Amino acid sequence: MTTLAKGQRLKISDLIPTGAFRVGLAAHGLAVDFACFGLDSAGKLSDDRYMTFFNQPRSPCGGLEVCTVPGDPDGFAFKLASLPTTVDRVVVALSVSGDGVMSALGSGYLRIVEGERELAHFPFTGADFSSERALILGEFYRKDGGWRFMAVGQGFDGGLEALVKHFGATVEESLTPPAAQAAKVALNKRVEREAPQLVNLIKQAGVSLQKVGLSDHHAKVCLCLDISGSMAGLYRQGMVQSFAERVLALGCKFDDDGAIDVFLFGEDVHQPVPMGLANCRGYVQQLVARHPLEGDTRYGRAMAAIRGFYFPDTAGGERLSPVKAALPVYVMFVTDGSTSDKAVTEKQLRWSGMEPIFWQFMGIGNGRKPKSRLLAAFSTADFPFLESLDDLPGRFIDNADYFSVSSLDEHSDAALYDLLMTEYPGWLKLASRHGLLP
Amino acid sequence: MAISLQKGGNVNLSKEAPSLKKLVIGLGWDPRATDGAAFDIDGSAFMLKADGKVRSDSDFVFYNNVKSTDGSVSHGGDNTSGVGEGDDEKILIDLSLVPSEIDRIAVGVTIHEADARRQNFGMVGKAYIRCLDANGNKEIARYDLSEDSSTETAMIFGEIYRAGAEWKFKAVGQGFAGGLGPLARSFGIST
Repeated sequence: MTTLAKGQRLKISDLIPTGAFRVGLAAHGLAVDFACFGLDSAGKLSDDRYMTFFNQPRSPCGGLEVCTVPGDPDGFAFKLASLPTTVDRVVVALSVSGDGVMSALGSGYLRIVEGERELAHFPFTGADFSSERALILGEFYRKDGGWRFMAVGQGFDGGLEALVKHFGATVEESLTPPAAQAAKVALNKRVEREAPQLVNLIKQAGVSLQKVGLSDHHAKVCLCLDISGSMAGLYRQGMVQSFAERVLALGCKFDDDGAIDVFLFGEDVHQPVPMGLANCRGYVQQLVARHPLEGDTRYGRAMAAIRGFYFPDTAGGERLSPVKAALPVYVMFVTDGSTSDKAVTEKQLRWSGMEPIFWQFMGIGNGRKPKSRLLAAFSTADFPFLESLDDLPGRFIDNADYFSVSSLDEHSDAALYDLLMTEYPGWLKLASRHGLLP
Repeated sequence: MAISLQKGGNVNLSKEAPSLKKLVIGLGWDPRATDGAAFDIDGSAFMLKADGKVRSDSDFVFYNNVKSTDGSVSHGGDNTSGVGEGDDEKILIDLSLVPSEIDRIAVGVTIHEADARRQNFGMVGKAYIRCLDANGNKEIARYDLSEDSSTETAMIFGEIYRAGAEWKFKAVGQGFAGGLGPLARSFGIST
């Protein structure tokens, strides 16, 4: 058995003529994900199917496969002879899946095992590293007609994204897709681990987004919740919590960080910590514990706070000329009653028309106004003011939509996501045409 | 064509390249793509008397002493990161100018601050040292440092030495513990 040091090489073809072996992996003290990358002779991942990891456990040729190695937390099975000649080397890498940097690693190793026999062992510890968030542990590569292995132990502070970028396709093919995909994949894995109740919701949101052509859309998602006293029942029944999770799932589709900003409003406005994968369980309950329900309802104040948070230059005040941003903000605004600051609210919505913020208002009440204009004439709207906001004149562009529900759980997930995407896609085009978005 | 030398093998430069007047020692490597301290590989030459020692410190040509007093050995300048095409560092040896009391010239290659940076040749991508005829840039000998000397941090690449009226090159390829300082002291440099 050879103990390998960084930089050391090994002639695999001499040691293991069949080229069939397993790689056992461990990295204690940090939550990490392992992956193998089959690269071309230029060192690029020209075929995405040659990123082998938990979510894509086998390469098309079967030459690389996630496997269990007795005694090791993670492992890969290699059949070098099965790899196509286009795969010139296979990199074994790891990246932190949560917080932390590699210097926080306890001990770890990569070992090469043939059958039961350990042929090589490459140990490493956190002391070997500093602020890296992704590491190349080793590399199997073709040399002089055979395969060799080198112990690498070098990495990237930028984590998985930087690693994938390093292996990225050539400039013409653009660097971003594999990186974006990897970030997406990393998020999906976090969801499975930290908030499995969101998995189906995220899928459902994905279906609705696909229908309106926003599968790869990026946006910041903000949830603005009414905490006036009349909402008490909804909070108590856990309805707000489940609704917030549905919005968080949308946030996970729009944003790779897996979190949404949250604002609470009654008489005053509060901005608690964002709702994310790690703290989403019982999130609303904690909110209510910290922020007792309030006696008044003031939309305008809440809107000023939200505008001020995303576009601080006017501090939530009047905006005289359009402002542009790379990412739009989708605000899910939830209320069960009318506001006592109507004039302020109207001003806020007009000023916000020059900002890349979309306001999706949702009224919760017992009756509701049908979407059909014809039927609407015969029914009484529960939220005449909100409805008037939807069509408020004097705005730069139409930046709001409104619908009402009889109860927070009235709609299936699928129907809710469809409703949330009624006017937003059109606004995106409008906002972009008017220079609010790229 | 280039002679592929095994460790310890030698070649008669005057016979292989009768017109040879100037030798180029070329050093190349890929810049570091990962995060961390850059890879800085240095080439150096020691002009030695028959006893294997330098006459004085000025016979040690490296990034801080880029030309021997007689002008026979010169250093092309320090590259501290490997950025650039082709050879990243070059040492030029003009055989016609080498004083007669100099019996041979040893060429070393080291990693700058290898211990502190915990680096070795194997960690550096595509690191090599080679010896060429300056006229036509014909390669005479080469070591693949990344592959063949992967765990070393300092190495004596080769020696150019007199054999009567002729010059020979011997591929030494021997690792040397401790880096440039100890390597220089072993040749009688007083640093």
